[in-house]
Amino acid sequence: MQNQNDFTFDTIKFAQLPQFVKKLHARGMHYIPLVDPGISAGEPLGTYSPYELGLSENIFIKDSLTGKPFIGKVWNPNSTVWPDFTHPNISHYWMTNFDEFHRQVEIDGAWIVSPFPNEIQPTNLLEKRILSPNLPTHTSE
Amino acid sequence: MNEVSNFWDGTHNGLCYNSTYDHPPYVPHVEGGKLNFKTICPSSLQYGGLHYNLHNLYGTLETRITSM
Repeated sequence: MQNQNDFTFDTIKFAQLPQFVKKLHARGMHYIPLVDPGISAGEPLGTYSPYELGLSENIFIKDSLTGKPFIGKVWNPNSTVWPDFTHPNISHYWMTNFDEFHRQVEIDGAWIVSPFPNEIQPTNLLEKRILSPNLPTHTSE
Repeated sequence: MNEVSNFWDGTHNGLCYNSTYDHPPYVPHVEGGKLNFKTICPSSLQYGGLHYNLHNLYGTLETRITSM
């Protein structure tokens, strides 16, 4: 990912990613990246289409007072907005993002869930997990 | 991350509006003691209505749209 933004890949450090995925496919394997619903809202204008397309299609969750996209923050460098999956036009928006990314990297699917990053494991539970190989280091919620 | 997860408690200053939905008279025993803990403000608006009413559907609907 570039700046930890959805539908991007680091074209310097992972410049060979498209070829790598093709190689995986040739060996009968799949490539499924994690996709977070949070879309970066802090990229320079004209550089990040998932944000700009969302604005033009008016499909981000809104601040109730201003009517503008609700601004929060997750992994993205400055700020984050979230697609409104109740919006009737959302599938066009979401598919377009996947489609454009797929033209660059032939992903086979998307892992659309990830553990709550601020989840704090109770110490005793963590110790148990370290002691027992049967308990995974993290489980989905 | 589709809780909806947010590193801020609502907005950048950790506040939401002084509204019934952001500060309901009864708050269940949720982590952080407030509805906007590590998520967006419940008063936020979606096409389908208030986020207050749709919060727990976010991941399900994302799954549905992604699988289309």
